Amino acid sequence: MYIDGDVLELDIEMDLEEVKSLKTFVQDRLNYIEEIVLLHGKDGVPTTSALFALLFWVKRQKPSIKIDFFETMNLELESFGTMYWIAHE
Amino acid sequence: MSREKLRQIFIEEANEIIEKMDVDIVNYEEEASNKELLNEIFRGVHTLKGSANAFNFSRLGEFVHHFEDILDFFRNAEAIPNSEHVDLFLESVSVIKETLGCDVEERAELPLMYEVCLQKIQALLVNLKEPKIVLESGVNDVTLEFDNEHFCASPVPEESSFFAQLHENEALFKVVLTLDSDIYLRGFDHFLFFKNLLHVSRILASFWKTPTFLESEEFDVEHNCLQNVTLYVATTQGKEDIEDVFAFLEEEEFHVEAIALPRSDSKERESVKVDEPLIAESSSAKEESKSIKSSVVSKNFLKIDAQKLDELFDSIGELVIAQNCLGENAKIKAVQDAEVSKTIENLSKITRLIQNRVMGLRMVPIRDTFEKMKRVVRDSSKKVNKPIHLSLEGEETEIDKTMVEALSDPLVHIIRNAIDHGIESSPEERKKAGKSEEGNVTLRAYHRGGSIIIEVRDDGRGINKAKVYQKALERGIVEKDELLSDAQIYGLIMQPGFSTADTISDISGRGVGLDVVRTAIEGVRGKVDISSQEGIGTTFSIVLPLTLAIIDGMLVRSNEKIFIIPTLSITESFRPLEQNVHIAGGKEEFVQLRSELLPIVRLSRVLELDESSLMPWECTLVCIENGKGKFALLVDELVGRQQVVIKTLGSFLSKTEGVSGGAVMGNGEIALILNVEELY
Amino acid sequence: MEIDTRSRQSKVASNRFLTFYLEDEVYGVHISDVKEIIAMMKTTPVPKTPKFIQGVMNLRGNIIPVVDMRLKFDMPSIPPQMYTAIVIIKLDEKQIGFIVDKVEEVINVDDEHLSLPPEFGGHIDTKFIKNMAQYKQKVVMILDLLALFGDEELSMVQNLSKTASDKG
Repeated sequence: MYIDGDVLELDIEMDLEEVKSLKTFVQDRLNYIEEIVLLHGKDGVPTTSALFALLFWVKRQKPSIKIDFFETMNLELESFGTMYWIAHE
Repeated sequence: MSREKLRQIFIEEANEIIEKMDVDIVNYEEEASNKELLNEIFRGVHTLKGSANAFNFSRLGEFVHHFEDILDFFRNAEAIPNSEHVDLFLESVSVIKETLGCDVEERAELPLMYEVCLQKIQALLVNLKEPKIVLESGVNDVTLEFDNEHFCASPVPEESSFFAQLHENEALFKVVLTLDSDIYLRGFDHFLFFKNLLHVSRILASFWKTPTFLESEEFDVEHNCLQNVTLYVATTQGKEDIEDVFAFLEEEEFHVEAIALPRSDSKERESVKVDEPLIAESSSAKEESKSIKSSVVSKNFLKIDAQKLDELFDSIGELVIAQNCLGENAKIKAVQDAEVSKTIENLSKITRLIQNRVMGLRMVPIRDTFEKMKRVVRDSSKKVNKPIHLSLEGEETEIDKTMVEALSDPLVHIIRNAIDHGIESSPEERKKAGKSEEGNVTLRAYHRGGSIIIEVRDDGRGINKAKVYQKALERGIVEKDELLSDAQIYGLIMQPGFSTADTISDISGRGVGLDVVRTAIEGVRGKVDISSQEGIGTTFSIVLPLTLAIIDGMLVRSNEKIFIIPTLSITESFRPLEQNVHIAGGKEEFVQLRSELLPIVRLSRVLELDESSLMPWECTLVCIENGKGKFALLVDELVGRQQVVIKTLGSFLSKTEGVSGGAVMGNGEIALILNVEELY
Repeated sequence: MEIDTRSRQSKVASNRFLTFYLEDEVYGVHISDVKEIIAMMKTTPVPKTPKFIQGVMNLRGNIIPVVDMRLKFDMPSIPPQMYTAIVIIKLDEKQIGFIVDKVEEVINVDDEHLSLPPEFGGHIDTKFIKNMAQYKQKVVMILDLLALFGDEELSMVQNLSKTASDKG
């Protein structure tokens, strides 16, 4: 996890505990984070889905924030195939 | 075309659509993700609605309108109807059938289930649509909050696009996850499963439902809110291997289904035969390999008035008789001209050809009848709460169309009986007997000789011979010292006396209504045989003549009378040598034919005519094979072979043993047609 | 000769009967049930059938069972005479023929001359008689064709003949 100005860079491989800390971190700094980027680590695959849940929650808290894959709603996860997000009909 | 005629056509077509819907829905249950089949059903209902309204069958129209809404919902949504929904569909079809009847006959009353069913449908509709509404507003809120950004997702790929990604020998599986909110606390994670899946498969894609957050709730990281995820994986392994990955989840949290099977060489993907559901392969190249069950197979069919076909058939019969008369005519025979003989023979050949072709028109594969039975099995199975597995064999076997109706009800009866009484009452009982928990019922059709045989086989308790015999004694159906073969004892359960059996469980099952079955089958000159083994199962065999009308017959003379034997049952005929004839116990006669020893049956004795005193080597023996085996029929001599039109002897004589009908000969006389099954 | 069968359902008026002789008794059947009357012709015997079934005959391509009415009524059978005829009736879509000594005429009997059959006596089983008709000076026994040739009688006869042959 690395914050550069108003861009937050996250390691896609973070585990549940790390996501818990991340939530508190982001909550406190919501005002000046404008963008969140996901970095693909060595393996390139996520460890916990809670990370994504958090991202959606963050978006809800601050709709103007720009989050990585939210434009296309899909994300290449290397060996985990392509991840598609479906909003309801 | 008059309005009345149009109405008639509508009613006929409506009935066809309704019948097809029944079959389609039962099939759909096994292929729940087959949207194409659902579409097919929807189209049928849609057509019904239009016509119903056009002819002012308003009650039918209204009911169908709501039913159509449900089908419309399911064919457009991701959601798949469950077993309860399918039950409702089937119930609806029954109501539609009855309502059609009521409206057509302009009866004031409605079918019993009309209101109830309609309410269920309307309730279901509301139920299905409600969650939709909630979600929509959720999404709307979020989009409103964006100023520059749009919630614009890139298009989601179709299932069929995954086929192209499959390697040789890989199957495509769909895994649907509905994970509870406490999975993190239980030590699970979506991506943990992904990781494990990689051991047995390649993950092609995953579809995640975006979470919805309620204002009031605090977001808890440890509380899983990503509950719906669907994955598509490619694997060379089997379904169980995929399922093993999720072994520690609750049953309702995951579902694995096969979407497409491995390609073998460059062949098209073959349809799955057994229980694996298939998704409709929407790309055009794959359409040919789709299983025949669903949607209309586009062959070139003509609708023909059944009566016209019958009339054509009768005329062909007359043609055969007339042509025989010509051949038998003494004056023509006396002409002795080669040209004339050749022409007559040619005429005979052509007549036979026409006859075969017209007969072929009336033959249809028994498949449709078998398909209808699927629903019967399903309904019976549910009614008595016994899991049943139905196997069908020989569906392509052809049967005369006129027989199909006669066969339907008896078959339903027998199947219901097998499930109600034949199969053990509980899976535990079956397990104890070393059988599978699911009861097995097999429908099999095949041709033998001049007949079509339809077997209903179950692997249930079997018939208790002793109890049946006892019951028959009690009811006076048999005499105390009557010697009966096994087949005859089993046959007793089809006696009218048995159908009034008070305690069905007494005789391990059967009885109710089976005499009706026997009467119906014998009415079309067929018969029903029963064989059984206690603890193993029972088989009902329905034997029906292939056609009611024309057969190829061998004319024989006995006691100065002419009789006809269907050539299909004859293997050969010959005049035996004295040394090959053996007489046992002074009465029973046998003949040695190559390596076989055949019993000799004297026709005159069987028919209780004056017995001839001639010895077998002074007569002709006709080798016949029937259900019980081979035997040699002793007659005076062979007279000839010809096509004959079978006429029944009238109800008075239809039960005469040994004789199955009569034929009008060229000279106007009547020759009796022998029933080979009853001669020995 | 063929006969029109339209008036079958009407109870009123049409009490028209075809009369015929068996021995010296006169019997009648309702005209609407009669399809045809033909001269005696050859029949093909059918094995293992009750004695009163003479056999089957070819009527324009159709095979029709023929009953020897005398035997059915337990009278002795006689060889065909000059006036012996076969009356073809239609019962429930099925045609059956029966042999009579002589066909008489078609008569009209009004209701008051029709009465119920006697409980006993007479040559034949009273269950086969529907009515007694008074005509001119004679008593005509109107036959109940359904009782004679209907399904019930049929199955009873079948069973009889079956047990007879089983034991035989």
